[in-house]
Amino acid sequence: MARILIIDDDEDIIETVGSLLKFEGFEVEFATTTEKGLEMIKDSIPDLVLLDIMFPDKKTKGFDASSEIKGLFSDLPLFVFTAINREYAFDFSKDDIKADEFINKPVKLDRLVEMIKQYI
Amino acid sequence: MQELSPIESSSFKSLNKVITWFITLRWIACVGVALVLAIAHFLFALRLQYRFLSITTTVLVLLNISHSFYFYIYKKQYLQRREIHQFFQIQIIGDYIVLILLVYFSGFMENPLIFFFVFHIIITSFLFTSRIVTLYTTFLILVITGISILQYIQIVPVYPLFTNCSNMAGVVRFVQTAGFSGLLIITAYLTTSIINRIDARGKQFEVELNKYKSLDKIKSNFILQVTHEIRGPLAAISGFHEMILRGITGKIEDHTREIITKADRRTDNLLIIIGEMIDFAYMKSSDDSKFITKEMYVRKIISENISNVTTRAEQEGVHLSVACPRHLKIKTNSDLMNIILGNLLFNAIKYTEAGGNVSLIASEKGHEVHFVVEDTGIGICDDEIEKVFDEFYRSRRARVLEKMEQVSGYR
Repeated sequence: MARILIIDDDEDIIETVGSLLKFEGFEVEFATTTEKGLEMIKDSIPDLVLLDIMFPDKKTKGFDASSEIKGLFSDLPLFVFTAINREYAFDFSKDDIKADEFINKPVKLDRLVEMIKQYI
Repeated sequence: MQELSPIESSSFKSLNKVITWFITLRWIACVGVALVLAIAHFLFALRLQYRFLSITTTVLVLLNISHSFYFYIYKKQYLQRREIHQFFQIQIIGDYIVLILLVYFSGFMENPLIFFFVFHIIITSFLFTSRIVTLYTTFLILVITGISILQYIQIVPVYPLFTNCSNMAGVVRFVQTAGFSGLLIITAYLTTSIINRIDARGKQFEVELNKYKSLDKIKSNFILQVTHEIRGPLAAISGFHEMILRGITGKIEDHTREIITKADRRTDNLLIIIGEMIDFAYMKSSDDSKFITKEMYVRKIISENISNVTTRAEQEGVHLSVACPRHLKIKTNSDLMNIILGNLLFNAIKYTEAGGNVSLIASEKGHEVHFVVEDTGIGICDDEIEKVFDEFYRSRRARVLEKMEQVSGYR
């Protein structure tokens, strides 16, 4: 069973996306901080990471974390996942973001599963 | 460009229009001089240096032909900032020399045409800085005084306008030359002073404008932050709806399913509006310098946008079609192009009924690429067309349709 790690400070998002992914048969883990998420990845590499961008302590913390994760595990599929529907709102272009996909919240489950299956 | 007058350099684009005006004015001058010479010769039988005057007029015509060729044909009516400055300099120097020759061969200080220098000084003041105006004025005064002195001491010949007053007395010559030089100095001083005052006002206005822009940016950043705060919870609400609809929370009644579906659709619509507000706030709060442009294939831009709206079109039963020449390129900012085309396509799909068509056609028109998004939807009333680019404007038909959707729960 494919294992997906959700890193998001919004517990409702973790609950909804997590439940929907579990419903589709994935094993889901979660972390509410990037530090905790990185620790979990180092302990046991998941099959895919869903990473939020805006965290309470820093507006673009997810981008820093995505660079760090991709720096350590370049083959690990990573989707950035944010409520701001345009990456440029963070002064980043798509080329600067170290991620395999850029997903806007909310995403319909079918679409998310379709995207995940392309990487797992 | 330092040498251009600050006022004109702020309205750089209009300078290309001024060049057109210059060239047209010079053609009028050519015709005017030719007519005056013909009248002087045939009607008043004045004994002028027609050979020299005709040669000078021909030089003016040739100069204007070369200016026209360079501007209209070689540069296609568009010069860069530095080229504009150089082109103005060449034109003005040419005009000064031609006018000096015309006046010299037709009576010099006797000739009323000499007052055209005042007109030239005024134009120079409008186009260049005080330093350059002073330079031109000094040059003119030196040339006019020099010719006057050389004529008086009979080193250069006098070409009188009227033969009976060819020998101007020294005092009269001095008074005329001094008076005219004074007139040029006063003209140069007054026009540059007026220009400088207008420029000071312009700068004050610019400060006010920057203050306003900075307030607008704060407002837009605020909208960006607030919309993000709204979008996050809405995303969670949408997720909860999906959990219920998929039966993750337990079996649901048909009526409950219907209600949750409606709630989910309304949430989706709200998310779209918030997405538009984020785009708008971002564009308002960003510096133009951030929008880097690069050349790219139009097809690539279109295919990205089409793939973004295909699912929506399929859901709505709307047929999408695209036409674009394969090698068509455009220099643009891809983020902004995606917002514009995305919004146009999304709106076209949203306001077109199932079975309808939405097409996107790109074509080359001169130096521009034209994008046409056409749909068979509800359309826009004629009286509303000019308002469609107003911020947050929604047409009457769209508002009526949205109202109907709210009642029926459709979409």
